[in-house]
Amino acid sequence: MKKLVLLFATALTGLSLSAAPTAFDFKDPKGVNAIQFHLDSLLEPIAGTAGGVSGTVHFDPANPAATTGRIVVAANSLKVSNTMMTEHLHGDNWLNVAQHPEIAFELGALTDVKTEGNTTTATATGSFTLKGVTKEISVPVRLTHLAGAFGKRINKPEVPGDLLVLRGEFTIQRGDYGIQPGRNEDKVNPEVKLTLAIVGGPAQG
Amino acid sequence: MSASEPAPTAHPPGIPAWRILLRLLGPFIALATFARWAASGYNRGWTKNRIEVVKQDEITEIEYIEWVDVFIPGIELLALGVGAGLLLFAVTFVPRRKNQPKET
Repeated sequence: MKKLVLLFATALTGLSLSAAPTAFDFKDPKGVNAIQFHLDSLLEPIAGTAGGVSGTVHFDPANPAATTGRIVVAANSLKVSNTMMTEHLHGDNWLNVAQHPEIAFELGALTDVKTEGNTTTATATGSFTLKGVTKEISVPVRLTHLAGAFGKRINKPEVPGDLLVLRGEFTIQRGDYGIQPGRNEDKVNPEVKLTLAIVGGPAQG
Repeated sequence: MSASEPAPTAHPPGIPAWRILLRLLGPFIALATFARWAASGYNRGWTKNRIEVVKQDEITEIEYIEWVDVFIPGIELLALGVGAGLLLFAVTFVPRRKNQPKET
């Protein structure tokens, strides 16, 4: 009887452990993570990246709908192909990175969740903060869970851990976030397309 | 050449040296700017001092951008260089002000 109780307790512990969501840290040691942005302008499209990605996502492959997390991008990591243009972008008239150093997305809920193999597609609804303005947005996302791939990626196959790849694409109106609302729209399109393809590894602690 | 012929002058008589210099320098600046712009791939956008190179992470298959420092002159530098060259060339044709005789 004692053995049976012990076996049951062990099985229960194992079950609860496997059901617990894993925390994934999106501060990538290889520096690959970046949000790409794209907007049309008078002469040519303005395209750039924001590489200062961090944040944590809690993901359970057995229950992707329960995913929670927050992704943060350092506003001063935004970069375009021209240094002067980058400085303008960081300046008071555009992003004012000195006063608003973070761009963040806080995941509220995942809906329309569909899982096939190791890939989950869903609509992520949450609060998006840019230049101090927070708005509720919905973003179609694709999450790919790569079990045991962390060690291989850092060239240390003996290191355990999974990877979570997060992909998504959405557009925002810059004016909604106080970025030159209603101004210079003939020169710089008010619509900004944001694309993310980022990877998270096992969170420490 | 006979001894009675006059020695050839460095520039046509009546045209000051600075005009000849600018008349050569202006087109040179315009052509050099155009050649530099053309050699960089006829960039019809703004000047760039870095370009995006798309790479792929092997394990995750994420396509990511790596920035490479390279100077590519844009349309505004072309306009500035060609404009400045043509302006230099044009000023050499501005007629000299003639000295007005002093009224007594």
